[in-house]
This record gives sequence, structure tokens and C-alpha cells, in this order.
Amino acid sequence: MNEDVNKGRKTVVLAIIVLVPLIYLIYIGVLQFSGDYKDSAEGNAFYHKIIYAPRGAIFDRNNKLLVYNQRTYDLLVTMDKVNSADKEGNPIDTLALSKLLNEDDSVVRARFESVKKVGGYSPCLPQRFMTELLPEDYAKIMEQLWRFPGFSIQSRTLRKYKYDAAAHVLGYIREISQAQLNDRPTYRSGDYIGDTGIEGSYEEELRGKNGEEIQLRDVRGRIKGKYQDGKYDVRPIEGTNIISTIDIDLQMFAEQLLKGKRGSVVAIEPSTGEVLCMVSSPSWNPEYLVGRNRRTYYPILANDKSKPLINRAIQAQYPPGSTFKTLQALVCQQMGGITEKTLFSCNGPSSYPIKCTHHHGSPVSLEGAIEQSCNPYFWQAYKATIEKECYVTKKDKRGRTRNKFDHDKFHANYDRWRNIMFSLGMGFAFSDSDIPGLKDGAISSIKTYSKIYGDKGWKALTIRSNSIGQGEVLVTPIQLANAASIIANGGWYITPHINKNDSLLSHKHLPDVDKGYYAVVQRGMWRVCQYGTGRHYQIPSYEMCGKTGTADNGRNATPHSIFIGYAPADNPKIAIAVVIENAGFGATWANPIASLCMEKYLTRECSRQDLYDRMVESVTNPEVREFENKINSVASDGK
Amino acid sequence: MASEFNAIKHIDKPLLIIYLLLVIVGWFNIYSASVTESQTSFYELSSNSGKQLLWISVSLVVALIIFTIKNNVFSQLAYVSYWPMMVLLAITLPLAMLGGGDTKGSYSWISFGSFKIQPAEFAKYFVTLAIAKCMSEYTFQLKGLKNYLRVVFLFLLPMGLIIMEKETGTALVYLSFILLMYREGMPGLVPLLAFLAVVLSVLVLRFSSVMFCAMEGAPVGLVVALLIVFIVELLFILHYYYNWWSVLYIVSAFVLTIIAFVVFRVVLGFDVNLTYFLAGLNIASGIYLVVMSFLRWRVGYLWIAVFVIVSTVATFSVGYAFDNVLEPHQQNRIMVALGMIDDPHGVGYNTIQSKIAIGSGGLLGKGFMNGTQTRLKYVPEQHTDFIFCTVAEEWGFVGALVLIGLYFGLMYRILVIAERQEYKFSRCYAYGVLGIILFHFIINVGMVIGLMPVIGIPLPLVSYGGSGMLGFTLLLATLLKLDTQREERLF
Repeated sequence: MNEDVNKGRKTVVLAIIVLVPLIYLIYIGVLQFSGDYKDSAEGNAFYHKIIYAPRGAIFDRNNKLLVYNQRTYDLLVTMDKVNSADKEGNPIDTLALSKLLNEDDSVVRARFESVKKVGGYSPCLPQRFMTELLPEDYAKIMEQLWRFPGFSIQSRTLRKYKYDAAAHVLGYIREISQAQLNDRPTYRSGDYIGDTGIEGSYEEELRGKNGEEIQLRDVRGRIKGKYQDGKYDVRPIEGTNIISTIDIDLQMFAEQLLKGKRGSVVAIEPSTGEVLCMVSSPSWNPEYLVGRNRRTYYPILANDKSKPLINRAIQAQYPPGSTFKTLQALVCQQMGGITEKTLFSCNGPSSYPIKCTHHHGSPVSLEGAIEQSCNPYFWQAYKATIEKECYVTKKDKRGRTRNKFDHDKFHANYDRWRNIMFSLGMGFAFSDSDIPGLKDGAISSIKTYSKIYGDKGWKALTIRSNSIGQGEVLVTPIQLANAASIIANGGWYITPHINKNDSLLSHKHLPDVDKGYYAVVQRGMWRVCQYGTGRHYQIPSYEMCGKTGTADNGRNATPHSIFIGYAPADNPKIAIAVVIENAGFGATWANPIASLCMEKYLTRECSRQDLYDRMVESVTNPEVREFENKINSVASDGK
Repeated sequence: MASEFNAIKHIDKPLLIIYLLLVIVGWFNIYSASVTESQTSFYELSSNSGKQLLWISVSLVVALIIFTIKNNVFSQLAYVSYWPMMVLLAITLPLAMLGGGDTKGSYSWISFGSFKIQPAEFAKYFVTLAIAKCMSEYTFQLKGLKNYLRVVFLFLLPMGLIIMEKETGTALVYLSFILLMYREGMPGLVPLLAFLAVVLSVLVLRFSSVMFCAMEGAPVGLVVALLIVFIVELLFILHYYYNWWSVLYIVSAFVLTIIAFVVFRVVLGFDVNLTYFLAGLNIASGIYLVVMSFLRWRVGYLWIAVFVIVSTVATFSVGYAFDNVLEPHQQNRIMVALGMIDDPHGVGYNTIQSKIAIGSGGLLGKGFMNGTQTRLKYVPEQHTDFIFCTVAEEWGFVGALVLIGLYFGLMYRILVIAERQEYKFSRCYAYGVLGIILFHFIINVGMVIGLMPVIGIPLPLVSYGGSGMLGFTLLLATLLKLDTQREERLF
């Protein structure tokens, strides 16, 4: 045997078999304790599947269901399975498929290509092939599904509407936009979000809370079941139901009356501020903006020249016309420009600087001026109010007396007038309302006038149109309805709102007009409907109060027909504002529509069928009728 | 035969226990890594774990049979069994080509119905026996070219055959016999130079795109490699001849070279390349050493000169060789292991996913059958080459510690056994086994944790695979049997 001279070399070998495992172990420790890889592992393997919470339903004030969810079915396709079936000699029979779906063969073939272009496409995950199958199609397809490997059906819920009404009030839901997504971390791309109306303002309540299921996903993206048998899954929390303040019967009734007209009706329950109806015409069937329909109808709605998407009830600004005189009467009394006994002369059509459009005796009292809608009275009352104590006599340095116009006092008066108008809900939109998209009205500021006319270049005469609700005064219909509500209440209002669950009772507002000044205005408005401009359209069974308005808007345009009022006169249950754009006299259109609506609400009936029919059939704005015909024909084509 | 089998009483129990533990750990992790929903039981034969159980049983039976064989038979049959094995390796390629075709690009498998064997895996056993036999011959000494060639031929032949089967990873394992040769007297300089070659290659490749002092044409890797060659040259001169004067001359030449470079580059403004200056310096010092060898009549100077010149030329050609000799997938694997490229969807995918799996394990792991990355098949080859991932993910750092501890125990025990053998054949054989297992361990675990390029060789006794299990069982059982001889002498 050779002598083993190299025995010492075992030490080197030992060093290697000690060092290598040691180095590896340290490196593994670094990998495992650095924590850098834990998240990557979860991102790889966990698929957070959202379980959508059912959206809350919406009811009307009498608990009639307005909006609910309906199950709908989507046909899904997993391209991976389709391809592997194809390889096994079992290709999809596109002809049979297109027959089953009632589509053209080329459409079905094109769908196979287009599903691959959807963002986040994966051949291993089901993609939407056809959405919103009709229930009868669903049954048929389920029966045949086995013939089409890779296809599956997924159910989801769609918004459904019980009534063809109240599109503006209810709003609609649509897929969330990228811009909205950025500041809403709880939403994901493809989620639905309420837009406008109740759906918009009560999005959070209606939406509920989505649940989450943690699924395990393998390397090819295939789902391999629940993580830890669903231990960490979160159950969805159903959306809250919303009971709205809308009276759907009244809403539909008013919508019928506005057919062929551009305008709006807003009715409020004075004692609560609850909006009973809020109609903007032209309108559409709310179903038109749900799911697949949306693609067809949205472009029509967005592009029509009658601009149906604008909610005129809260977003259109109109000069209030003579309806403004009721508020003018209140503010002028409050500021001491007039008392209820003040008389002014009226020279009828030859009055200066504003002529009277009605024929009545002179001098006229405040009550009579409201009844007769006397322009000269309110001009003189306005002048007396905002120029109160502005004409002063002062002694100059040489002791001579001089008549001077105190501009500072005038500005102070005007400012006070404007602020009291604001307290009556004019000008800025209600800041505490739950109705989304409210637009401001307008009453110009001192600054605006001073800019135009110079600091001392304007007096009451310059802005005389304000006295009769023309000129720079602009209001929205809901502000007008609220004004009617204030008068009906005799000096207070609760912010108009559309959610009955939240009474907003704490939002009671007291305008800066003493309660004693209201009675004369109420009497005046009663007289309007008894003897004045509104005498033709009394509600048969109740006494009503109101004020007509005929608002000029532009040189050659037909004036807007406006009416505000409330009923019953002694115990108001409904306050209303009606605006019919470019229709003519307030007494001709807005007044009868308001009268019919109030009767409908109070008695649940319509006793003047002739009047109703006449109003429904009249077309004051031909382009609205055009729009209505167009969208109806599209709808009947679709079916 | 029965009396022969009595030797089992003297079996080395620690090694036996470690062997059994590794097999059991391996089997459980294979089950966890490859079980599917449709599998109903542990031992269903169609499943991976079921097949592995069968292979384990076969291996244990084979181990028992090994124990009935007389000790001297192993050395007697070493050559006799070597040649049929080589023939089998040689015919595997045509058989595989005619038969089922390639398995993942390699032609190293022979199929028998649903079972496939890979001769390359248990060829290691016969090659180890043959090399041990060769080196333990009474007259053999690891000296002289002829003897070296005899040994090297014994493992280069199967290596060449296996490379032809496109199973490069398994072929590389045969390089592990260098450990055996080192133990048996091969100068330590050889593995050291080999190690230096690897270090220099890695340096040149890894830092080939960063320029030294932002000078065009002078990559940091190449500059540093040339400097290392220069320093090693000085160390050799000092170590072998303790010749301070030569070192002084060469260092002054170095200083002069640098000064010349600065003058050319900065003062005169020529666009000269630093690497050429350094290479020139190395070659010049090599020529100086050649002269020295004649002046002093010492052949060692000549060898140092050869080292310097060859290394210098080689560092320059590493990049060229890398681009032109290696295949693109091999280049990619090396670049991924060196961290030069991050290729999460290509070759880097395996490494990234396996690092994620290991890293997500934490201290105690996710629990048996709960490794998300494993269960969801994120890591390819999880039950075979990447089985270590499963252990580290499901059992965490503790699991990795235990497994690596077991391998250390295995290797340490083999080392102990090797050193206590009285017969050179047994010792050589044991070192052969140690080398193979060490090589597998370094490459496999290194690959899984991303420190080594992806080379497809299994983790001994743990990875799925019948041929591997049988091969390693043969290696260890024979070692255990040979080890019982130490007791025989007492009778």
C-alpha cells in the first residue's frame, strides 16, 4: 500500500464542505428575511375577485318602487379553452353560435377578434363576449352551451326602472371614468358609479360595500379555488334603499303636461322642503341610459338641439318676470320703502319709465298691484326702497342748501335689498341641498353695476328692470318654487331635497323678512287666482294662491310663461313653480299646468280633462316634439 | 451470501440515518410540489409522488442487494462494468432519437413504456468505481502525464458522450473528480489555477460594459483581470523563488508603463488604450521571466512566464469565446446568474420565481402543502431541479437550515468515512462520491437561490427522478458496504 502523503488535504476539503453550505444559508436568510419577495409572491398568486354589492333600490314618497336591480346575463368566452378545443378538432361552430345569438355570422367572427383587444385581456380568463342577454335568450343559450367549449355565462345586475319617468331626478349609473377613478380609491376600472340625480348624490349609500374573494391563481392565470377556504373573504354589504320625496304620480302627470314643451315643473311640500316633483322637459325614458341602450341613446340625447340632458328645473336660469313681484313686495316692506297701505298711481300703458300691461284703477294698493301685476307700482316701490333717504339737502360752505344724492346710502340700500333677496333663496344655489348639479341664479352686485356705469353713474332708474323681475335678475325654477314655499309658509323654508330618509329639518332657514309682511302678499296672490291674471285656472275644489309671470328674454323671442303658487290657500300642501320656455303669457301655459298639477297632488285626480288634454297636446316648442318623435322611433326600431 | 450480509451490523448509522431522512424529506416535498386536485392518495402510481415511492423502494432493494456482494467484487468488476456502461451511454443517443425523441431538448432518456431511465445519472456510479480502481492500483501514482491521462480519460469519455446527448449539466458533474484527484496528490495549483480562471472570466464578463475611468475600450473587468494576473505573477515569483529583485524590476516596469500611459493619454493627447499597455506590460514581464529561466537555469520561471502570457491572452479572448463558442441560451443563463441581465420572461424567469418562492417563505414557511408559489406552479421543474424552493417556501428558513444541515452532515460523514478507509480503493471511491454530491449541492442550490447559472442537475436524493435516486443510492450503498470492511479485520 502506498503511503498516504496527502492526508492533510482533507482539511481543505472540509473547509469547502463547511463554507459552501454556510454561504448558501446566509444568502437564503437574506432572501427570506429581507421581505422583498413576500409581496411579489402574493401579487403573483392571489387574485382578488370583487363580489359586487347589490345596489340599493329607490322608492317614491308613497313607497312605490321606482328603481331596482334586474339580473342580466353575459356570455363569456375563455379563448384558451376555445383554442385548445380547436386543436382537438372541435372548433367553434360560429354559424350555429351566431344563430343562437341572433347575430350576423360576421359580427360573431369580429367579436372573437375584438375580445382580444380589451384592456387586461388574458386568454385564461373569461372575457365578455356578449352582454345583457335577454332572459329568453339566456334559457336557449344555456341549453346549447355544451356545444361551445370555452363559453360560459355570468350573471350581473342592471338598473331597472318601473316607470318611464323622472330620468333627471333619478339620474343614472355608468362606468366610472378615468378622471373619477383617480380620486376614488375604493373604485376599480369597470365599476359603475351614479351620475346626476339621486344615483349621483346618494352614490355612497346606494352602492353599499363590495366584498372580496381571495382566489388562488396559478402561473397561467387559471383560478385554482379559494385561499384558505375563504377565511379572508369579505362579504359584500348591500346598498341602502333610498326613499325619495318624489311623488311619482305627480311627476308623471307633470311630464305628460310638458310634452312638446321646453320647460320645467318643480313642486315642493312647503312644510318639509320635500321636492314632490321635478320635471325637466324634454326628458327620456330612464331605461335608455342603462347598459347596452346607452350606446344607442346617449349620442341622441347629447346632440339634440333641444338639449334634453340639461335638468332645466335646477340648471336653467330664467328672468322671473312678474313672479318676482311677490318677493319684491316682501323686501320693499321689510326695508321700509313701502307699507302694505302704500298707494302708487298707475297711468296704465302710458306710465313712465315702465308701462303697465294691465288695465286697472289708480292709485293702486300693494295687494291690488300684485293682483293686477302692476309694473308702475313695483317700479315706484323699488325706487322708494333702494333710494330711501338718498336725496339729502346739505348746507355747503357758504351756507347755501344743496340737493345731493347720497350714493353711499344708495349702495348700502341696494346691498341690503340684494342680501334679503339672497335670504329668500334667490341668487346662489342652495348650498345644503342633496340635489346635485344645482345652478346659481343671479342678482348683480354693486361692483358689477359700478363697473358698467361708474361708481356714481347708476341709480334706481338705471336698474329699474329689476323691480319687475327682468334685467339682471335670474332664477332657477327650483328657486322659484322655494320662493312660493316661503310665502306659503309665511316666512321660512326648509332646503328643498329629494331624500325622504333625511328630512333636513335642521336646515330650516328664516329669510330676513319679518313674518308680518307675508299676509299681504298671500292675499295678493289669492286675489291673482280669484280676480287677477290667474282667475281662469282655479282649482275647482281648493282655493289656490299664485302669481303669473311673462318673462321677456331677448328682442324677438316669445316670452317665457311662468307661474308660481301654492294650494290650498289656508293650509298649503304644495308649492309649485312652472316655467314654459318661449310659450307666451304666464296665464296661458304655466298657470293652467300648475293648477292641474296642484289639483292632481291634492285630490289625486284631474277634474278638468279638457284642459288636461289641451295642455298635453299643445306644442309650444316644435323642436321638442321633433326630439320626442325621433327618440320614440329609435325605441320602436330597437324593439 | 447470508454471512456477507451480516456486515450490515457494522453499517455507519449516522450516514444511513441522513440518507433515509433526505429520502423522506424529498418524497414529502415532491408530493407537495406535484400533487394535483385529481390525485386521491399518496402512492397513486400515475402521480409523481407515487412513482417516486416506487423508485425509492427499488433503490432500497438495490441497496440491500449491494450488501450481499463481497467487498472485493466492487473493485474486481469496476472495469468490467465500466465498458458496458459506456456502450449504454453511446447507444442512448440513437435510441432516444429513434424512440420518443427529445425530452426537453435532451437525448439522454431511454423509455420503457411510461417509465424512462437516464443512463447518464447512474453512469456516475460506474465511472467512480472505475476511477477508484484505476487510482488504487498498486503501482499507480498520480504523477506523470500518462497516469493523469488514464484517470482523466475515464471521466472525459462519459462526459463527451453525455454532452453529445445534449445533457451538458449532467456532463459537468464529471468534473467533480478533480476533488478526488486533488486528494490523491494532484498539485493544489491545478484547482487553484482553475478557480483563478473562473474568477477572471467572471470578472471580464460581468464588468464588460462599464469603462475604467470612462475610457473607451478599457472595460473595468478586463483592466482588473489584467492587474490580477500581474499580481499573481509577483506572488508566484515570491512564493517559489523569493526573488525580491525581480519583483522590484517588474514593479518599476509597471510604474513606468503607467507613467508612459499618462504621458501619451493626457499630456500628448493620443487616444491610447490602457488595456493594451497593461497587456504589453504582462507580456514583457513574461519575456523577462523566460530570460530569467535561462540565466538562473530554473524551469519554474518559464512556467510562470507561460502562466502570465497565457492568462493575458486568455483574458482578452474570454469575451470572444463567450460570444462565439457558447450557445445563446447558455450565454443567457450565465448573464442572468451574473446579474447582467434581468430577463423575467425568459431564462431569468426560473430564477426570479424561485427567489420569490424562497423569499416568501420567511422564518417558518407557509406550511406543508401551503406554499402558494409551489401549489400554483409558478416555479418550473419544481419537483425536480427546483425542489429546494418548495422546502424553503413551505418550511421557511428553518426548513432550509435543516436540509442544508443534512447535506453538510452527509458530506461530512462521507469525508469521515473516506479518511478512515484502509484500502486506497475505498478511499478513492469515497472521495469520488463526495465530489459528485458536493458538485450537485453547489450547483443545484446555487442555481435555485440565483447564485449560479441555471444548470439542470438534481438535488441528490431529494429531487424527483428514478435514475437519480437509483444512482445516488448505488453510490452511497456501495460506500456503506465498503466501509464495513473496517470491522472485518477484527474477525
